Amino acid sequence: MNDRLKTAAASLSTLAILTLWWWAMTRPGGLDKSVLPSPHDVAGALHAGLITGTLHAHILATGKAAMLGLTIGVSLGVAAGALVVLVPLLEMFVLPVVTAMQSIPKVALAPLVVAYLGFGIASKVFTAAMLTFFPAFLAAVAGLRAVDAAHLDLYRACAASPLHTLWNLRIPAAAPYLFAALQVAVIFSLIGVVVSEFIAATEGLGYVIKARSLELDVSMMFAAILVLCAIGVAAGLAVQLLQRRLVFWRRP
Amino acid sequence: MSGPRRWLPALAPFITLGLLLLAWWLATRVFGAPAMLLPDPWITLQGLATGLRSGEIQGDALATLSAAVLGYLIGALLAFGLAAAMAMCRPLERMLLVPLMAFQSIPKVALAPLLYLWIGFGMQSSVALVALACIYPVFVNSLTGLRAVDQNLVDLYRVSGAGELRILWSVRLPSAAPQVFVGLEISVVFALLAAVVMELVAGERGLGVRIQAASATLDMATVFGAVAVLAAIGVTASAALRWLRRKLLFWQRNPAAVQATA
Repeated sequence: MNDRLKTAAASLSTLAILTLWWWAMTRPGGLDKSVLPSPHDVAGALHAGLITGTLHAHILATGKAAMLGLTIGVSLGVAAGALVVLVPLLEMFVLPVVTAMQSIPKVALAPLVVAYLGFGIASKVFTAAMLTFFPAFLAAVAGLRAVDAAHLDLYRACAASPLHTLWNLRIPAAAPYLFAALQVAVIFSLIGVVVSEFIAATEGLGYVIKARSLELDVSMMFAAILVLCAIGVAAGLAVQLLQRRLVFWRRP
Repeated sequence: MSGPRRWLPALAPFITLGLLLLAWWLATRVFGAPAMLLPDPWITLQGLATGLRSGEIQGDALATLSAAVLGYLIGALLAFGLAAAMAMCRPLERMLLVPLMAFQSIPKVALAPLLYLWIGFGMQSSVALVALACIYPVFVNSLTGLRAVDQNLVDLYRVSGAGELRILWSVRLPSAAPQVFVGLEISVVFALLAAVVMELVAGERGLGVRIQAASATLDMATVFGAVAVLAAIGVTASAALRWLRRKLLFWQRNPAAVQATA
């Protein structure tokens, strides 16, 4: 406990130093607001965005697209991963290709997606789904295989159907892997949506960041980035909470 | 082990790629997908060849690659230095660990417009974004590796009169290296991703700029060609790093698990 207290005190002191430094840099006569806004300016922008509500529609747009993309990408990824595990022949053909595709920066396709699907939510969802598919796929393959061989033999000896084995044995074994992937996928879906909004969009936090940069409204950019961080952290915590509930037999 | 069992696994991915190409060809030639949606594979190949002959693609690829490599080196060195300093100095670790974990929660690509406001158009902002994107994976893995050093070995070196630097080089570094490489491998993909995003947002030249411009005019053959080059760079860079790991960490047999990356 003493150790924790020391860490907390040290972290707080770092934070205090950084804030003081920020304050000193941006005090009147220091850096201009269009370069580095003061903490006061950022607080003002946050107030305008969250309390007055200029950011509400954008938060909703980004959140909705990220959620949809995450759901679609992860579902498809897990389904494809399950298929590869259940059909061994497929694994040989598909797994190396998907693994190699891991090292391709898939966001490069975002302009193409926007050209195909337009400025609306569809291209954001597609980009997010494309990014989240891969971690989900690989986690499903690794997780569904992480079954105890003895358990598998037992199920086979009792003539359990493949579907029964999948539901009662393989999916519980895969759950920790899937949640780890979900944690990654949450961030990837946000990245996908934001990049898509950078390229072309009419609403969303990425759009706000890009549009405000043209007006040199750095305070609002800071506010939008902070909100984005908060969404990421909140979503990550939600995944953790869900994991504690669903995978109760294994403490992360 | 006879016949197909031996050569099929090695050949299988190429068969898949061949089938994908065949599907692409069929979609354009037989089912007549409009070129605006899906370019003809042959035309794409020709476009790629023309671009390569004129040196345009090499120039763009070089711009993207040099920004990615420079940013990667800066980010990785910074991250490793930070991890080493924190592993050796407990008060420093206390002060910086929590703030660094908060830094991790920022989606780095969201900083792209801010960086080009601060640093300006061109390569320097790409390098900065790449460095920011690479720091955390290398840092957190290096710290984990450096912490897991056998304390007895460190003590042995210390009673033999070795200095901290000597211990870092001879004990901590070799023992942390496998974990450091995990971070380096994750960062390779983040480096390319960040370089491309910066180019998409505000780039002068590079494959991202090429893709962006060609997408705007629905010149799909150019887009597909540039994406193919980018894919080749990504796959080659990851393979090169794996090769380097095998060469440097020759005592380590088990290959690291597949990492999830964007």
